Amino acid sequence: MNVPIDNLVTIYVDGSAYQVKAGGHLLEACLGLAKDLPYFCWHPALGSVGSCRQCAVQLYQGAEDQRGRMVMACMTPVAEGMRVSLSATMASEFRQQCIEVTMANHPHDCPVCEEGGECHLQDMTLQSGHTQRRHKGDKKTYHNQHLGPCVGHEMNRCISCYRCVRFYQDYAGGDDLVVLGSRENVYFGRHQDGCLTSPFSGNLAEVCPTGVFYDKVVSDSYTRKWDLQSAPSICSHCSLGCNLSVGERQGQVKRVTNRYHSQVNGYFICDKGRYGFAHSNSDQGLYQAQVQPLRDTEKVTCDTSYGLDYVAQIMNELGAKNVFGLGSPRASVEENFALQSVVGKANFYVGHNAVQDAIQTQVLHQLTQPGIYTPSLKQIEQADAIVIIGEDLLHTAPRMALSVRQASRNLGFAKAAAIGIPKWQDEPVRIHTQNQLSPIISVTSAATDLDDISSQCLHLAPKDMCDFARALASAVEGQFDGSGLSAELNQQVQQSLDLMAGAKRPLVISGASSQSPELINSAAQLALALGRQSGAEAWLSYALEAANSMGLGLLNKDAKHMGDLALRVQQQTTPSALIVLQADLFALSTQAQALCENLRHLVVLDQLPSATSDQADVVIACASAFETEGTYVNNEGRAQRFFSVHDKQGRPDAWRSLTNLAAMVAQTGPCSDAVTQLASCTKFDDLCDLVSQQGGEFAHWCDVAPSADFRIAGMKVPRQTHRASGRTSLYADESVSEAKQPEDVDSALGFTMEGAPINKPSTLMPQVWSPGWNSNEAINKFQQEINGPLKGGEAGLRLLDTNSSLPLAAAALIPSITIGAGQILAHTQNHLFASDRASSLSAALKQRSTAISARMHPDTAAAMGLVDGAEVCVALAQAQWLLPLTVDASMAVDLLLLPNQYQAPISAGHLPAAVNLSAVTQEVN
Amino acid sequence: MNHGQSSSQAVTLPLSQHIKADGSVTSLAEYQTNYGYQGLAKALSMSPGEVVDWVKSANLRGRGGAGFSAGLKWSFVPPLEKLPGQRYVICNADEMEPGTFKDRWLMEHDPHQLIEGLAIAAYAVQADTAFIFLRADYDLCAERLQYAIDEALAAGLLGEQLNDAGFSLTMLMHTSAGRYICGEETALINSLEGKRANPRFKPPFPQVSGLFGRPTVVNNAETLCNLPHIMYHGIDWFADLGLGDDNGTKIYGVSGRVNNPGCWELPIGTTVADIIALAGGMQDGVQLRGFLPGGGSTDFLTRDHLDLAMDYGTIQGAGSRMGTGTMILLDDQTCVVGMVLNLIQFFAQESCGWCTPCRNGLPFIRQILTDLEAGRGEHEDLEQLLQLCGYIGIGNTFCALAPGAAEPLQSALKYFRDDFVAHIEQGCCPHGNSPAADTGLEKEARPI
Repeated sequence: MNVPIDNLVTIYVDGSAYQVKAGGHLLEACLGLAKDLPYFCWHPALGSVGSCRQCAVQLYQGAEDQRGRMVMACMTPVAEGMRVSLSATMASEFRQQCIEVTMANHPHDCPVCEEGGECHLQDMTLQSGHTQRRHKGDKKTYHNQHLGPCVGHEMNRCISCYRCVRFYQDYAGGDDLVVLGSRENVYFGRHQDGCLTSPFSGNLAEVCPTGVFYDKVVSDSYTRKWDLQSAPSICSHCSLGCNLSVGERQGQVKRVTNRYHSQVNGYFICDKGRYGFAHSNSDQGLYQAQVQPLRDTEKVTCDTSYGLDYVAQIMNELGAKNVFGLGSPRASVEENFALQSVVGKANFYVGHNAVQDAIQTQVLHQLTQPGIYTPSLKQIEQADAIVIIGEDLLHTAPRMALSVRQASRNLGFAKAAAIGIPKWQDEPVRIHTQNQLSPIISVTSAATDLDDISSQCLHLAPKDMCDFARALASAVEGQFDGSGLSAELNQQVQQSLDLMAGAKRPLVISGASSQSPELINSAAQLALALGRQSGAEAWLSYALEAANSMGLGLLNKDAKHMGDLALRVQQQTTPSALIVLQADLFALSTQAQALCENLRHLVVLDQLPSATSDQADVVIACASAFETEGTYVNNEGRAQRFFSVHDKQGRPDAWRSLTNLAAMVAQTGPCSDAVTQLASCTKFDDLCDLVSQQGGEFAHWCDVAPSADFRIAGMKVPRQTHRASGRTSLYADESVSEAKQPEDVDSALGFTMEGAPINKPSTLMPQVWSPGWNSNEAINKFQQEINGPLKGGEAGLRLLDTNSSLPLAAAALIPSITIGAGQILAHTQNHLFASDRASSLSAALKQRSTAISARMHPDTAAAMGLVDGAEVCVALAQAQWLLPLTVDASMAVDLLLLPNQYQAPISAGHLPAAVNLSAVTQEVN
Repeated sequence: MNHGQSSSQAVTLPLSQHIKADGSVTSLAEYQTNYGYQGLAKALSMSPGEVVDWVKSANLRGRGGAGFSAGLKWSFVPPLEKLPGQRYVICNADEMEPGTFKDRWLMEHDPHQLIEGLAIAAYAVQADTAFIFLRADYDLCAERLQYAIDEALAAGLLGEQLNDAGFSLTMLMHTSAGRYICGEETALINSLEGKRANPRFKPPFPQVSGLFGRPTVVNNAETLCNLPHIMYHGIDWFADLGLGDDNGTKIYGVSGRVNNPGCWELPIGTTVADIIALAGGMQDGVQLRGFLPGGGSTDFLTRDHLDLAMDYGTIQGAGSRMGTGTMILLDDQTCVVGMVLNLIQFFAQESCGWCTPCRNGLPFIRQILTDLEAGRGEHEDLEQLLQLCGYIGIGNTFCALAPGAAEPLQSALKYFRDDFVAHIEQGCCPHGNSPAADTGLEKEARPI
């Protein structure tokens, strides 16, 4: 018998020997060996529970044992020398019978089922070999529930695999989806109709092996999976960079699903990422260039080239030194780089206010400090003690909140392991450890959705958070004497110290929504102290403001922000122009109007209108992230490429408009080298070459994804499936002559169904499909091992690991906030479904955003003579905002939290600030 | 119901020695006049390990149905030195096996016997908390047990400082919400924790990780009732009580068309025929055709097996299980298909809904049997029924509920196949039964 080596054991499957990882179970091992073995209740992220009995295999005592006994593969740990058979008659007949009884009540509504064509139940039924229905009775029918705008419910299709509740409750911490009833009458739903409250509810559509829980938004405008033209994409809604697969049909984005990345999002994304795509189809979007030849006249629509030519003329007229650019953390690295090249580094500013800028500078400095490591989301799940400080993760970086929730189980895993229960034995682990969780300390200004798993919850004002973090850091270093802190805070520091004492893999999480650069620094000092205490590298993770905050920060390390720009424009003696890339000045600063008034020309490149584009005299409509290619650098410094899903909106890429603009500028006269170089770019790869020439973190930019020349068997990677239908007739209503497939010179993907159906580089996987595996469960065929990296490599490139530390750039001067009489300090409070422009255009998400209100502690309200529910007027500079007041006893005192609402009179960018607050007196009739 | 034996036989029939003819409950004082709580006192004077060894040597086999050695079960609890902290014992009094009412008889009439037994078990495994998990419908038991617990507590027989070593015991009664599956010990534990009564995966076994993740022992009520006597009278005495390989006595019961259905304490190993004779034999005009020896989830035996001793090994050797030892008789006037359908209906209804073979397999079988009973069956159905019995068989399901449910059906097909065939060929039930077109449960299910 072979001796186990390197944590591997030898098992025999149907007579052949294989080496598999020790400690796992047979189902995982068999799937990892590319065997087909059906399953329902097991899920790679949820572990094994042995409920569906579908993965039965025959297990033999030894080479002589011919009879064997049947075991469930998912519940059986692999062992050295183990002999199993998948094809043994007893087990394969059992699997068939399992399907036969499972299907007894399953409706034959496959032709109209949302899951049709990508149904795991359908795949497993075929795989089991069951073909003949013998059940003669009636099928059961169920009452369906209204579960809100995102998730549909069709209980008749249920096969009771329990995956939905295991994901929803056990994995994601939701409490309003439950299993009710018993026997063959188990019911998965809510106690009564109502919108599912978990921000991860959309994953149910992917977790459900059939069509019980389906994506209602897709259902409203349905396209079969095989008819979707898909591209690999990166979520643009927060800084985590979850990998998405985006599908379109006839120029409309139809749906967004999770795209597996072992280090980032794994199998799950949040509902904002899944349902927040409507902006790209919106009739409110910008689709055509507009120019306003004379002030105070209507803008007229024009060709993009005319618009760009107009901009080139402006640049010529005013002179290059008088034309400024404002980049955006929402735009890709390449787009920002192109704008920076057009206006020159000296004239390039970032779409940040002073606070955001200082935060960005701090973040870059701290994350590149020696001894600090910023973990991926997967690595966050390995932390055994976490301090979250100043960040309401569920609303600012929801997928990270999900990872923190998994990390909270590490104490339980360790405890279970001590009595020999492996991590994948889901129920025994939970039962054995009951409610014991790894220490999580949550320090925020109000209650958060992670409080339920936190060992210690502190609700402090932002300044107190800094004091707390510093005090805890010195306490960890043994240098804390308690001076300068209140007795209460002192005691809390002691409690935290005790909680973190045994941590071997501590982690500190903070982020930009604290609106406090000082806190970014304090969090880093705490991480370093905890790292030293545990003897490990300090783990520190920041949730940042936007999808490409990190990329923009790296591109502009000497970051100058919008306030600097406003000042410079004001000091200009000559007329100046500003080119704004996908940013809204009015959401960034209260100085926006003044800035606009000081400009001769305002040019906006964007896909959606904003207060800024309303004021602009030139608007260049540009492609949304679903129509172009680009790279975002996520919060851990991982550069990830996204690709256009379609090119049907007719909006040019922002980067191409900028290269065209450069070419026009270059043609008309002398210009900078940067403009000349940019002008020479004809393809996206050319632009990537230029980015890589920046060196430093960008040195390997061309390795982020394969170039457009990449071919498999001489062919591009198809965006369409090999089953795509209607290829020749899809646009027959426009023209009966079959148009040539559009060419894509900018990526290795083709707008076609022709291509080699083999393993692709992970970055280029538009969707997953494998013979016999039509659902997303097919991912097991592409993983190096279950839950491991993809065979096509780990997509993306981490930029911060190899580079030397970045000095703290000249910090932006943050004026301290003075609270005058009758004033109160206001910070922003994020709400996942209400905070930004893009998601505000999703009807489904709009319904899920909560009613807005200003919040404060009851004592603070009482001191100001305000009561719960009162209509209040919040005033800042010229802005006034009338909204109801909610008193919230969980909050810190002397603080007003204002909702982060797109297009609100006072936006997150205006805060923190001292605001005037008064009750709106009711007029007496 | 027969109300037990006279007190002169108490030494040989210990469990029922206090059960009075008038059905009244034995008080603490009455219980204590006849060595009541002296078994516990003896145990408390020994070390817990000695008590475990004592009971292991007595070879007291679990009376709930599985027949596993109680002492051995206890010995799997890790020693306190290795795994310090909280541990629990639970009395499984969720007696819901069809045809079984033996625990009720003991608890209603002599609650202190159970309390003393449970206290001994708690001491043996060093549990300071003991639960009695009682069937929902046993109102009189609940009342009498709670009264007895209070009596024992007031008398210092439960509570703090029960011996010099400082052993303390809190005893709590929990009346279940009424599910057969709660008789499965891990489902019982889940239920006690306030969770869905789904069985748990083993390992880990409850002795290592049970109630609230702590070491836990679950024993059947009748099993526990034996402990005071084993402690008091000793191992040899207990061994001499049994007639065959097994030790002690057993509460046997008979239901069906006999003249005097009921339950009786008899030496373990008494023959089937003797037990049926004690029940007064068959009623006039009906003939015995077969019997389920130990409740609704055991295989049929027939007239050929009447001389068998009712002990674990003998009944198993004949292809069935002694189970709870309370037999259900089938007579020649009763439709065997209808009887099996009734049982399958019960088990389908009591499935927890966790694993597929049980949740969906039992209703599938119910459908076929309903059709057969109504004369709509086909010959292929019998083959499929056998297949389905194999499908829901032992090892294939998450717990033993569905394999138990298959036992009466598979054995009925073996011994009474002609009855099934007659239904098919005559196109109706020969006994004139006509079940509803569908005995299925809720046709349309709603969340509540």
